Amino acid sequence: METTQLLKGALDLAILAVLNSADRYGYEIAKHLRDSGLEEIGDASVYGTLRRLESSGALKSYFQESEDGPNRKYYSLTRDGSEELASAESTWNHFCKTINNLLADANRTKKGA
Amino acid sequence: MTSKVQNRLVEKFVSEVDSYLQDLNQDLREDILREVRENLDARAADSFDDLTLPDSLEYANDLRQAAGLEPVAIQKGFLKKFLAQVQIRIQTNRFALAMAKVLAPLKPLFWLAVAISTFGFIQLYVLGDSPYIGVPSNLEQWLLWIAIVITVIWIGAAKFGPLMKRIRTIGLFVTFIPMAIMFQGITEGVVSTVDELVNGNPALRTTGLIYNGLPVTNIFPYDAEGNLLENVRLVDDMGRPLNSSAEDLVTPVVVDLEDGNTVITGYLRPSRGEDGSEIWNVYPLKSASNPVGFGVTAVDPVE
Repeated sequence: METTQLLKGALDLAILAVLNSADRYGYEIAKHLRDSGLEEIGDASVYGTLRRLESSGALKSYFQESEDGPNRKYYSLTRDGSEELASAESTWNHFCKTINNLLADANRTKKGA
Repeated sequence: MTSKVQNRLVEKFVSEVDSYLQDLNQDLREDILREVRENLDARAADSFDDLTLPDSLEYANDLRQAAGLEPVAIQKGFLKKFLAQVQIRIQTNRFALAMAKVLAPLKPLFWLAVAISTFGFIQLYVLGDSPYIGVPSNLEQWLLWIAIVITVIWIGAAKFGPLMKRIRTIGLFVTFIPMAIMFQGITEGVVSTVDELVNGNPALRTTGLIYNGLPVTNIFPYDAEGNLLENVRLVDDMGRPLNSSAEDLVTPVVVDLEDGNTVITGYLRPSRGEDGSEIWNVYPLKSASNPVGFGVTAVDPVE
């Protein structure tokens, strides 16, 4: 299964999780995700998702001066975003648990046969 | 890769991405592009090697889809595809970008011209004829003019979505009609003003040679010994034939004498070419009848 397909459904959660610890700008978020093991994530997908989450009210943004060049747009979680993160985390955990159980069942059946 | 080359590639990439976001409103587009630039700057600063740019169409599509927008509309049909390509070429052309930069400060003037043109359009088709198209002629028209200028400049500065942009473009084309008429009028006005300044009032102007303010009807060339020369064609230093005003005076030649009397000297006639055509600048012109007191040979050259 391609990671990119899985990522499409989980990118919102991944971004909310990254922003839960600290406010970050777009490239920093993308880099953090890649460094954490999601190497296939594209910058454009991250920026698009940030825009959508901001429109939905889960994130808010502000500009901050940068030493390297023009001002950077930083994103932070809103209260709605924190609630969405908690809800998505629960859904994700449930989803993972279900998939893991299914996989474990499949393995047991295979070994039993 | 030098930073100059890199900057150019980044600008080209951003322009290409921009061309895939044309259906979005300007604020959103500018915000997205600002972030694209920020992203590329950060990547360039972070990268020890050269910055590798992704495919602009793929990048725009990823961004749009992740943002919950429709994917890039792939143009169907040869003409639409061709026009889309031309648009991208123009938007990523260095010369076009430089020209756009130079012309950008003139944008308010352009919209002011559009406002005047719009007023001219209303003058032409609503208010009726006016001595000067585009220029108000009374207080009501001045108030209308000011209202139109404010509205049009607001329309020019507003950041519209795709539909309003299209409407604005159609409006622009419509106002180009009186603009073209006005431009033609202005050009003609300038030409006639310059002509008047150089050559005097056309209503009072006489064609042909003038001597002491009066038209010269005939010319009598003499050689150094004082012999009258006949059938002489005179031209100036630019090769232009010197024409007396006789061509305009096929009707009887009227001359005011010094004693205050007026006499008809005769009818001046041109020489004829081999094909029978009239040649007016062969001097002296001959008279068809006996002149009075001017010593003009009374021979009709036509006969």
